This record gives sequence, C-alpha cells and structure tokens, in this order.
Amino acid sequence: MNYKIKNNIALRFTMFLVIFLIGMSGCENFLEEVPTGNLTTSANLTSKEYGVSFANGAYRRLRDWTGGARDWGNQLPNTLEFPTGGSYTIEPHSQFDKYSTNQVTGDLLDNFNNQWANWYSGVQDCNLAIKMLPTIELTVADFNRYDAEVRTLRAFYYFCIVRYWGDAIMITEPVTNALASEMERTSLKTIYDEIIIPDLESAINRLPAGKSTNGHVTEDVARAILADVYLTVAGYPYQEVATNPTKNWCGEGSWQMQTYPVASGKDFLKKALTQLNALYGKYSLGTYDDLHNPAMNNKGEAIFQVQYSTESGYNNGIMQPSLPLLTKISKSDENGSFTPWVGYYNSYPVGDKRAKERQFFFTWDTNIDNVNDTVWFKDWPHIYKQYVADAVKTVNGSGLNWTHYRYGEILLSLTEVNWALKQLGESVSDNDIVKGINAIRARAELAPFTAGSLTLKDILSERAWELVLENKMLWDQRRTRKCVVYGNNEISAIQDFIGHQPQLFNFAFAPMNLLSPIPGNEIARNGVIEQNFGYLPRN
Amino acid sequence: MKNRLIMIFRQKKSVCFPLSGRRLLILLIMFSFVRVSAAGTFPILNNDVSSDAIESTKTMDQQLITGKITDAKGLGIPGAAIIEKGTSNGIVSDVDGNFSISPQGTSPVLVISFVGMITQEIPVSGQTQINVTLAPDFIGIEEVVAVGYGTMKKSDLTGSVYSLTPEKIVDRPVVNVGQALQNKVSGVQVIKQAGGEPGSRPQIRIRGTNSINTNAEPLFVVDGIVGVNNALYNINPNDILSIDVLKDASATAIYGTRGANGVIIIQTKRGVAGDTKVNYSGSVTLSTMLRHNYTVNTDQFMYLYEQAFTNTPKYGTLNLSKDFRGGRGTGDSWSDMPHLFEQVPQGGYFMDLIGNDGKYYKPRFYSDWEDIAFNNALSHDHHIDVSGGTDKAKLSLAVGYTDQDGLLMESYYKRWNIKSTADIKINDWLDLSTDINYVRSDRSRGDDQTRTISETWPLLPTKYPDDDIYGIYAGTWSTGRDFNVGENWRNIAYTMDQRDGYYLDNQFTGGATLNAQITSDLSFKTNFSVDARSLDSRWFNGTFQGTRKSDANGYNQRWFYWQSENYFNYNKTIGDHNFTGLLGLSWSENVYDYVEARAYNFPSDFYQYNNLRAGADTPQAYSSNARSALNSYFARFTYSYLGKYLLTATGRYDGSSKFGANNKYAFFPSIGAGWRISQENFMADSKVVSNLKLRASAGQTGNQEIGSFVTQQYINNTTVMFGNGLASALYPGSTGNDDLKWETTTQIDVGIDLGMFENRISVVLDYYYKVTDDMLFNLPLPASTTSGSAWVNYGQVENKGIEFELATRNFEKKDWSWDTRLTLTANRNKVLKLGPTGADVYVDTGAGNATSVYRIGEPIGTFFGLNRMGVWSTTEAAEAARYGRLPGDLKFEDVNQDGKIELLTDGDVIGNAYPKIFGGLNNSFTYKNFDANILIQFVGGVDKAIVHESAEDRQFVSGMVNRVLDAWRPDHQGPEVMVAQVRAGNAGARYDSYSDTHEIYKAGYIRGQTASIGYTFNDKWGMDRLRVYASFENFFLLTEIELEGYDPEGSSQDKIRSNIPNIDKYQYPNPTNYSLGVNISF
Repeated sequence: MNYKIKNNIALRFTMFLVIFLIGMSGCENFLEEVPTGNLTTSANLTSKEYGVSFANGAYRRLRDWTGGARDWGNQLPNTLEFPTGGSYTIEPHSQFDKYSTNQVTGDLLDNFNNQWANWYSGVQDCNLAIKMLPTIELTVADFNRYDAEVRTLRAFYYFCIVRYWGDAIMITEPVTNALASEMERTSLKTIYDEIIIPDLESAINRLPAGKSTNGHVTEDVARAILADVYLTVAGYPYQEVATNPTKNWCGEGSWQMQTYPVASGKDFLKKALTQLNALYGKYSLGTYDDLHNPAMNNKGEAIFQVQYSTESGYNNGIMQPSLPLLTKISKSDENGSFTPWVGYYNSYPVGDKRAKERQFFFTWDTNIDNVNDTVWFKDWPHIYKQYVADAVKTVNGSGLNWTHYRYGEILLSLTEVNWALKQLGESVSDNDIVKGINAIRARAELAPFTAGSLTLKDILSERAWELVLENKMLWDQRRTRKCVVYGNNEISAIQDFIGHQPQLFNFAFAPMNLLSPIPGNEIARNGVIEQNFGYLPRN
Repeated sequence: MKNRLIMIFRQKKSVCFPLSGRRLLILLIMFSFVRVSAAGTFPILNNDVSSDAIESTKTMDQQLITGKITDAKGLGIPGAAIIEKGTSNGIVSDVDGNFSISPQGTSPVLVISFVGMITQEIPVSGQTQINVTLAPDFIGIEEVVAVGYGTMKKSDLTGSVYSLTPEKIVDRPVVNVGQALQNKVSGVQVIKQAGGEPGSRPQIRIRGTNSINTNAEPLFVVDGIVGVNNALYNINPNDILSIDVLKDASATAIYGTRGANGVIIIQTKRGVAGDTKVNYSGSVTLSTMLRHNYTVNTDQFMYLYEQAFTNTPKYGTLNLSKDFRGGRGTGDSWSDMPHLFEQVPQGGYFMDLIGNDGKYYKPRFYSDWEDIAFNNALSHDHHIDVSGGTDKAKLSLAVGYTDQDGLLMESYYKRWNIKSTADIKINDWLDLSTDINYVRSDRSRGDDQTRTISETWPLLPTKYPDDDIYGIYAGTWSTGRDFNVGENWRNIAYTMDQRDGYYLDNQFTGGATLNAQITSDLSFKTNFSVDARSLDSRWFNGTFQGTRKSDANGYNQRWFYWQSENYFNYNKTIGDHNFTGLLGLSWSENVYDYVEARAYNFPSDFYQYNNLRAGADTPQAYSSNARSALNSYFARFTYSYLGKYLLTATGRYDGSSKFGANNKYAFFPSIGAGWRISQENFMADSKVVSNLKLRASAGQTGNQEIGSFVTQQYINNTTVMFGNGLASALYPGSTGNDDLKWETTTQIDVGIDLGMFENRISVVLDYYYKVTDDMLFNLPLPASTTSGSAWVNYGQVENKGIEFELATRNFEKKDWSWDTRLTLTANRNKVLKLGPTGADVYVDTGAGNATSVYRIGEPIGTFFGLNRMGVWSTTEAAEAARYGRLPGDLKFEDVNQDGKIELLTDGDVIGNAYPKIFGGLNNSFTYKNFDANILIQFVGGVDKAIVHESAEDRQFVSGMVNRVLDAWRPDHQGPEVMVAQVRAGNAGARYDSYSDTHEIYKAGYIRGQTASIGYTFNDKWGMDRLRVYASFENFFLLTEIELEGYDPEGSSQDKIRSNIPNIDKYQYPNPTNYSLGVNISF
C-alpha cells in the first residue's frame, strides 16, 4: 500500500512534469509578426500590377490641393491667394487677418503644415515608386512610362515646395532610418538643377504623347510643367541665388534684385519657348462656362488637372469656400473665404467679358429655399470659376477638377517668354509676341495688343485677370518680383515686390515675404532645419 | 469538452501547427488521465480519504476535544474554522460557536480562524476543552490576498498590495470597477474620464504615469485571465469577491512585461458548500444636475448683438452699411424675420429693435438649451445570485442588469451580466474549476453635443411651430443660419433627431482550471481560458433637412484572446522555516479583426444604418487584422523564518511578438524583504504596537502596450481618382524599427505597516521611486522625410511618491462602532530624457485646444500656452499697434519682445493635469442595525484646461457663455477684463485664440462622493438578511476657485487623451445621484 501510494505520487508528478516540459518547448514562429492587412517592404512585389499601383501612388497627394486647412471655411487654395493681397474673406477671418497684418508664423493654425506635409509626402510617394519600379517585372516601355510619370509628379511637388519655401529638403529615395530623418535644407538651385529640371527633361520623351484625358501624366502635362519651371528659373529667386550659389539666401533673406526680365535667365526662356511652342495650337479656348463645368473635366483647354468626382471623399473642396458667406444660395456650407478682393474685381477693364455676370464672377443667385427669391451680393462679387450648379443646389459635392495648367495660361506664358526674349535682345516676331495674349483678349472681348506697345504691365495684368484665383498669382509675384496695383477698371501700375503694399494690407512687402514660413511642427521635429528669414518659430 | 478541444485546435492551427499539436497532446494526456482516475479504474486510489491522511491514521491518538469560539463581547461565533494544523482534519463551529474535533496527529495544534478575526494557533497539549476568544482583525492582517498565480496571507507579503473586499465595493450603487476603486486605495488614481457620461470608461493610474505614448492603464487579471479586455467597465461590481491592487515591483514582476503599470487582480464570487444561498441587490437612482454652465439668454444676446455691430465698423471687410450679412433667406431686418421676431408697441422691449417697416420688434423665443438638453435621469440596477453545493461540487449563477440613463437627452448605458462558476472535486487530489461569463452592453453613441448646448442661439426654438407666420420655417428645426450671422449651428434636439447610433459590446470570458495536488506540498495547476469580445457600432447621420449628404456606417471589432498557463506550486515548512515556490509557463495569443462599411447619400432617412446598400454613392469598406502573442516563463520563491523574516524573489522571462525581430525576449526580476518586528520578543509584549512590519522591494517590470505590427515597415494602399475611375495605389507607410524593445520600469519601494492598540489604529506608509527607461516613444518625425512618426525606445520618465493609509476604529461598543479610513497619495512625475535631441514634443497646438508639452524636467500632463495679460486698453493703443491690434483686442505676453505673438516661441508651461495630492476620507458608522457611510474625495494641486473659447471669442458666429457680458468696453477696462470687446462675426477676438493662461483653472476640489445610510433586518419575512439603504453620490462639491465648467474631474469626449486628463471642451456634467436600494439574502 505504501509503495503504491508513493508510486502514485511519483507518477502524478512525472506526468505533470512531462506536460510542463512539453509546454516549455515553444515553437519558433509563435512570436513572429506576419502582418496580413498591409504589405511590408519585405513582401514580394515584383509582379506587374504592383508597378501600376506604385505609379498611381505618386498621384495620391494631388487630391489634397483643395483640402482643408483645419479651420472653418479655410481651404488650402486660400493660403496661396491671401498672401498676394488680391483675395480676402467676407467674414473677417483670423487667418486672413494675420496675412494682412504680417503676423504670419509657421504655426498659423495648420495651413502651412498641411501644404508642407502634402507636398513632401508627394515626394516620398514618388521616391518609393522610383525605388521599386526597377525591381518589378515590367516591359521597357511600361517601365519608362511609369518612371516618367512618377518623376514628372515628383518634379511638380518639388516645384511647389521651392516656390513656396525656397530651399528644400532633398530626398530622392525613401528614408528608412527613423533616427536619421532630420535633415537640413538644400539650395533651391540644386533642387531645380538636380531634380526638377533633369527629371522633367528625361520624362518628356518617355511619356505617352499628347493630351491627358484622365489625369494621367502625358507628354503635354510634362511640357506644361517644364515650361513653367523654365519660366520660373529664368526669373526669381533662382537667378539671384545663381549670383552666389553658396550663400544662405533663405536664412539671411538678403534678396534685393528686382529687375524683370532677368538677363541671365535668357537661356531658360529659350527652353521655355521650346516647350510652349510644342503646346501651341494643340488646344483651343472654349467658353468661360467650360471652366466650371464638370462635363469638361480633362477636355477643352485643360492640360493638367487634379481629378475630382461627386463620389464622397473625392470632392473638390474649394467650392463651398467660394460661395458668399451664409447667403442660403446653397444646400451646403457657404464660407465666403475664397473670394477676390473687390478692388481686384474692379480692376477689370470696361467691357471685359470675364467681369460680366456669371463669367468669372457672380453677384446674385437664387435662394435655395425659394427660387423666386434672388439673393444679391453686388458689393462682393464672388468667383464663379468653382460654381458647379449641381453641387451648389444639392448636397452632392463638387466633382469639378482643379486646373493646374490650362491652355489659357500657356498662351499668356508664350507671350511673356517671347516678349522677355525680345527685351533681352533676341529677335522675335511681333506675331509670336502677341498671338497668345490676343487670343485671350479676344475671348474676353477686349481689343488686341500690338507687339510694339506691349508692356510687362500688360502681360501681368492679363495674367491677373485671366488666372484670377487659380493659385498662380503668388508664383507670378515671386518669380517676377512685380506686383500689380488694382485701380478702377485698370491695373494702374506694376510695382517692385519689395516695398509694394497691397491695398488690403497694413504693411509693405519686405524680402521675407518672398518666402513662406516653415511650419512649426517641422521646426519642432527637425532639429537641424533652419527657418526662413524673418519668421517664427525658429530652431 | 470535445468541442472546446476542437476550437483550441483550430485556433492554433493557423498560427503554429506544431505548438497546437503539442498543446492538444497535453490536454489529451490530462483528460484521459482524469477520466481514468475518475472512473475509479486507477487501482491505488482511495476515493474518500486523502493519501496523506491514510498515512497519519496509523499513529493517531483519537481524543475528542470540545470547545467554544467567542468574540470579544463573549458572543459565540458560528462558522469559525477549526483545523488541525498540517492536516485536512477540520470542522466548523455550530450556530452557538461550539465545536468538537478529534485530532489525528501526535502533538496536534489547532488553527482557529474566522473571517475578520485574527487567527489563533493553540497547541492541544492534552486539553479536552478549549475555549477561544478571537480578536477582531480590523486591518485585515489575516486576509488572504491574491498575488500573481497564487495567494498569500497579508502578513506574509513583502510587496505593496492592497486588498478590497466586497463590503467595500458594493456598499452603494457602482456601475464599474473604477468607481468602486475611486479613493479607496492610496496610490491609485481613478478619474471619471468623460465626466458623467453613461458607460464611459474611467482612467486608472497606479503610482503615476510611466510612459508618454502607451496605454498606462494597469493590467487586469480576472479569475486568472491575464489582461481581460475592458474589465474596467464590463465587470459587474456585484460579482466581485475581491480586488487586489498590486503596486510595487515585488508584487507585479511576476507579470513581467505587462506589470509596469500595476496589476489589479479581481476574483469573482464562487459557490460555497452548504445551503443554497440566494442574494438579490437592487437599486433605483435619480440623477440630477446641480451645476450649470451659464450661457447668455435672449435679452443678453440682443444687447450684445447691438453692441457688437456698434463696435465692428472699425474692422475689415464687413459691410458697414447694415447689420445683416445674411441673404434673403434670413432677411435684412427684424421685420423680415417673422420666424424669430414679433411686433411689439414702441417701448415693448427693453431695447428698440426697429424694422425696415418702422415698427418695433422683440425676439419670440427664449430657449435655455442647457435645460432642453439635460434632464433628470432615472437608472436602475438589479443583481441576483444563487450559489451552493456540496464539498464535491460548488456552483454559482449570477445575473445582473444595469440600466443607466444619462443626463443628456438620449444618452444611456445598459448592461447585462451572466456568470456561472463550478468547482468540482474530481477526486481527492484533483479539482476542476470553471467559469463562464457573458456580458452584453449597449451604449448610446452621441458625438460631442455638449458643445452644441453652449453654442446655439438662445433666440432659436428647437423647432418652429407649424404655423403660417413662420413662413418657410414653419414646422422645421432651427439652425444658426436662421438668424443673420453665424455658422450653420444645429440645435441639439435637431441633431439628436437626425443622428442615431450605438455601441454594442459582447464579451465572453471563461476557462477551466485543473488543480492537481501531487503531494501535500506540491500542486500543479493548468488553466486554459479565453476572452472573446466584439464591439459593434452603428451610426447614422441624416440629411438635416436636405443640407448635407446623409451617411451611415457600421463596424465590428473582434478580439479573441486565449491563454494557457501551467505552473507548479510548492509549499514546505521545515521547522521554523517556510518555503514556497512557483514555477510556470504561459502561452497566449490575441487576434483582432475589424470590418467597417460606410455608405452615403440615402434617398431617405428611413433606412438609417440598416440598409447600407440604399446609399447612392459607391459604398466604402474597410477591414484590418492584427495579432499579438506572448510566451512567458515565471518563477517565485518565498522564504520566511518564524513568520518574522520574509523574503520574496520573482522573475519572469517574457517574449512578445510586438517587438522588433532583434528583441523578442526580456527578463524581469524582483526581490522583496519583510521584517515583522512585532513578532520579535522585544516587541511581542508591547501594549501599544500590535503589528509592525518593514517592507522593502526592488525590481523591474515591463510595458508592451503598443499596437501590433508597429515595428514593421509598411507599404500602404489607397485608391486614387482618375478621369476614368478609381485605381489602386501604393505609397510608403510606417517607418519600422527592428530594434524596438521593452520599456522597462525599475522600481524600489519601502513600506511600513503599523498597527497599534490591538490594531485599532493602523498605518500603512509607502515610499516608491520608479524610473522608466527605453520608453516606448512614438517619436514625431519630420513630415518632410517620413510619414510622421516611428516607435523608438527613447526617453526616461521618473515617478516617485508617498502613499499613506490610516485606518482607525474610533469606537467599538456593543451597539455601535465608528471607523475612519484615510488614504493619501502624492506622486511626482518628471520626464528625464526625451527623443534623440531632447526636443519638446507638443500635443494639440491648434487653436481651440489645450496644448500640452512633453518637456525634459517637466511632468507628463503639462499644459502649455501663452500668458494672456488681458485686453489692450485705450491708453495702450500705440503698443497694441505693434502687434496689429487695437484697444479691445486680446493682449498676450510677448516673452521675447520681438513684436510677434507666437505660441511656441512666446508660450511656456502654464499648468499640470495631474494632482500633487489626492485621497479619500471614509467614515463608517454602525448603530444596532443601522449603518452609515460618508466618503469624501479630495484632490489638490492640479490644473484644468477649460477650453470654452469657442463660446467666448466667436461671439456672433455661434452662441456664447455669459462671461462675454464682462467683455472689454471703453468704460470697462482693466487688468481683470479677460474677454475681448464684442464685435460681429469673428471680429471679436479675431480668433486670437491660443492655448493660454485664461483657459487654465486651479482645479483642486473636495467632493462629497458618497453618503449612505442603511438598515438591516435579520431573519425577517423569510429572508436571512434584508438591508435597505439610501445613498447620495456627489452630494457636494467645493472647488478651489470658481470653475466655468461642470466638474473639475475629467475631460470632454473629444479631448480624452490617454495621458493628459482634465481637458474640458464642454464636458458631460457629472450628476448628483439619489439612490434607494436593497440587499436581500435568502
């Protein structure tokens, strides 16, 4: 009995020990992580469909162009118009107030942060695609096409970055080490010389020829961007940086050149001309209604557009801000924040079709609750370019594309480039100078210019009238360092940027206003980045 | 049983087949063994007498001993346990306290114990009559407390463990464990995180916040299930038998990588052998609101409106020629807005509102939105449990139902709990315990409507009467657009009408534990448990009278956790030496699944969320999946000499899938020592000191509370719109980190337990110091180069503090008694290292937030902002102009005097969200059958951010708080004026809203948390016991300074930040509750 009892205990113990020991020996992969919902960089991504998807990824951030700025009624396009002094909000808005009183800092709500993150993340998307595409089983033609699309878009994002902030963080491949992610800025000239220009130049011949019918980058798209790039680097700040490339221009803010055109930019102007000529005649100008007709998305004079639709989540976000504040003409919000200053509107020449009711502007609409009731806002004409009737009168959202480049701008740039080349001593035919601008004026029902009398003021005025609220004026001010002065039925003058005081502002532009402040978030996270001259916060 | 095996097998299979095979094998061996032995075919087993007992019967000298157990008053104690030490021979005293027992040993020692009394050991030494008087154990020194994977007598502990018994938990209606714990335990801070919102989750911190980015909540171990999902609010407090709070490393290190935030061990009630018991508890609670957030009324509003438009022409682009900016929809004049204004004779209103028609008007409606939104709420709670059984099978079943109604319209929380336990003696050495729990809770899903209440115009009705005079407004809901300024702000009744949603939480937890007594010293436990939870939500947001696309979504989150824990327990006494040992291993896995569908643009509000296909836009769908796993080995060794010198050593070797490929496993050791000085000879006779113990411990614990897969470098996917439709796209996701590892907290603790005058005064005092290294830090990265952040091990945080508990029994007389308990906690937190560059990390820098900063040298929970100096006065016009400001605009301190106001440059630390000291004072009284209890809560040295700026500086965008009446005027200026001049639209403060000192309030308070009075009937009306009681919760509140918000405690729903409490952007009010309840035992 005794023996049996002890045996019993020994047996029990042995049994549980065996169980325990079996449990001890684990299995190797129990603690391994195998994510199921997302691909990782260690996934096998060599098949063709991944190539298409990587190329598409480069387009991801375009949609954010009309995204929000984290403040009621303020969308990102506002932040590119307010600084020019040509735009305001009907509601006295704190953000606009800060522009008009020179109180802008890198922490102005999240405006700058959003642009910064959107454009740089666009660059990062492109970098990943550029890194991955060569590893994917693609035909040479497909590879070339995708790679060229992606490089064109990376050039576009960088082009926005350098125009907005000057020197940029130069990244051409994905950053994988979190602890090596803080970087200094690189000269804007280097970004143009080593990324923007070579990528666009190499892309043009590898892209599908012709127009873009669905938003994909084609040869025409790349040419339009490249033409703009050349025109920009022929001016400022590139040409001033080129006078002393090693100087810390953005940190010191010692900008002073103001002459336009810039003699040293002549070669770039010629290159711009080549691209513009390649586009000339391939498109035609339609009606002003086409500009706010979603059915004309990717058609007519459209060259490069951000693609929107009425699908939830893919709407153009700038329509509600462009409606007059709380007037009940629309089912949805009316923010009154994306609005030309009334002085801007008043500068249109007598008879200019663009200034007529429901061409570029509108001053009345019907009450959403009562079509027989007309709501007037005559004292504050609002932009009509974003007015999509279906979207205003229902809650479906605007599916109108945002236009980055259209033929109208190409025509005006063609005139500017030809005019500038002539100013710089090149021989240019009169017709080449005026053919672009006069086409624009003809559509506006204005008298044509003659080449001999055409001035820079005429060219910049026409751009201001034609491209109103298309997010072009800020770039024009910065690359030419000239500002228009709005008068009564005229642009009364052009002035040098430095020293110009927009009528809406209580201060005159200083060199610091040639660049925008780097966001506070970036300053806080990137210990080695230097803020632009004159702005807060600083590292 | 078979099904369960199959389930286990399936669950494992997908992950790791070899392991599942092994696990299956273990279970098969075990169950076959059990079957064999249970069937009695195991020939050597004797079913009735334990084998140890058989051995000892050989030499037993049977002699019957009789006696009586009494308390200090001489009353017999029924149900006291009389056990012969070292054997299973024992008996329970009868109804008068009498007992008789026949010892079996050669020199028997009787151990006499009773709940709430100090155990005595009496050597028989030939006596046949032994009468024992048991002394009350006021401080629970005899209590057996749960420690990880076992229990210990409180007197043997070396660690800092606090044990809470059921009487302390459910002496009043409490909905969740957090409420039950609040102010009961020093070192444990419980914050009603979302104010009084029904079903909201409290925040619990044990000894401060260790970490910036991870969840700093303690680990919940419920009936052996480690890390029960949502235990904090899914457990019915009525089901709880005991709560043990493990605070120091000596106590928590056994939980290794999950121990750093402290551990809360919950044991639920189980069946007890004996007569079947039935208990019912029920209560009814009326909640009311005693504090208000005053907004302007219609007349004040009209007065301010006129002021604003008189003041505004100084500014900007407003149309100066008229007040009204609205279109014809709202009218140009009072006379055009018959829906809001009615005609009165001249002088019929306190101010003249003259319409375009030259007639006089006054507003029609005077809505008090707070009154409309909040109503008294009636809640009730029922709990019934049935338990009983025999020595061989003890069973229990409990059913609970809680129906909590919130103060805010349409807010509610309902919970059903069902729980059953079984403890089955399979044979004399093998026990099986099982638990089955099911919880279902249903909670309203409202969004932050509390802000709406403060920001809706008082001159709007909820809905316009259906009458022709209201024109197109007749019968419609009102919005801010109906008046001519302001945003499209929809009133709360309108919003509630258009929105609907709920959260439905279903949770099943359960498991089986086999306990095998291998020898009298050695046992083996194996436990398999699961925690399966799903959270469903539905949400519908209507068209709001056709002003938006309707949308609806539904999602389901699903968690499945299983654990297998196996461990040996060894307990041996050799002479004066007692050893215990624990050796175990554990496997566990957590799988998470998520699926969501959204649809937009419904043809009618009819479908709500019940037919997503009815949405006209392309529906959107999302899903995701995650998994994490742990593999652990743990051991504990304790040694005690004569019960005087105590030593505990523990270690856990933990492996977690969550960490980088290079750092999966880590070891967490701890050691603790105790010296019971009162057991020493020189103290044993002390009349004053009845208990004195010194404790010291040191150890390390870990934290792995980050999401799964965070070390991975992802390529994310999305869709991109092209002219020809959507296309899929890939883009860079996270920046991974293969080296990510544990966050390690090293903690030392020294404590003293002191009992005086027969423990009528007892003091527990602890000092602790913790440093958390290699902090799991979600490092914010530059947006220029990365997608935004990465998990790294950076930074160091320190917590140190003092915990003090004083319990006194002030009176102890025949009919009445009075006990007092005071708990006090002071914790100091400091960030020691941060990020690679040590740069500050800011949270919520945008306007309308309470910005906070993580900064070296400052504690976690630090508020950051500008110094608001008031409003520019007329004499300061020139100085104001330097900032582009005018007299009447807000004035901030320009710290660096650069002529610009900039948050990060000119801002500084302005407050802290964690209190310097907090505690509770509890007094309980009994008089005959009456009992009464008062619990006072106090919190000091804390700040609260009350971010009501949107109702203060956007005066005519939406509604406003009545502080605006105190706004700057030329005839009302001075340093005390903090509100900018009223102006139309946003012109008021020009959105000069920053996180600033104006929104920081000193938020110390004293709260009458609970007062209750009860009366108990014994053996009446067929009931063993009937207690009726009334209780009042939140019955008074004294705040350090007058607060603009509802309550100093908690945050508003959208400002709940895991480590920054006390942010009130229109918080849900905390109700005052009046309850009536009964506790009945049959």
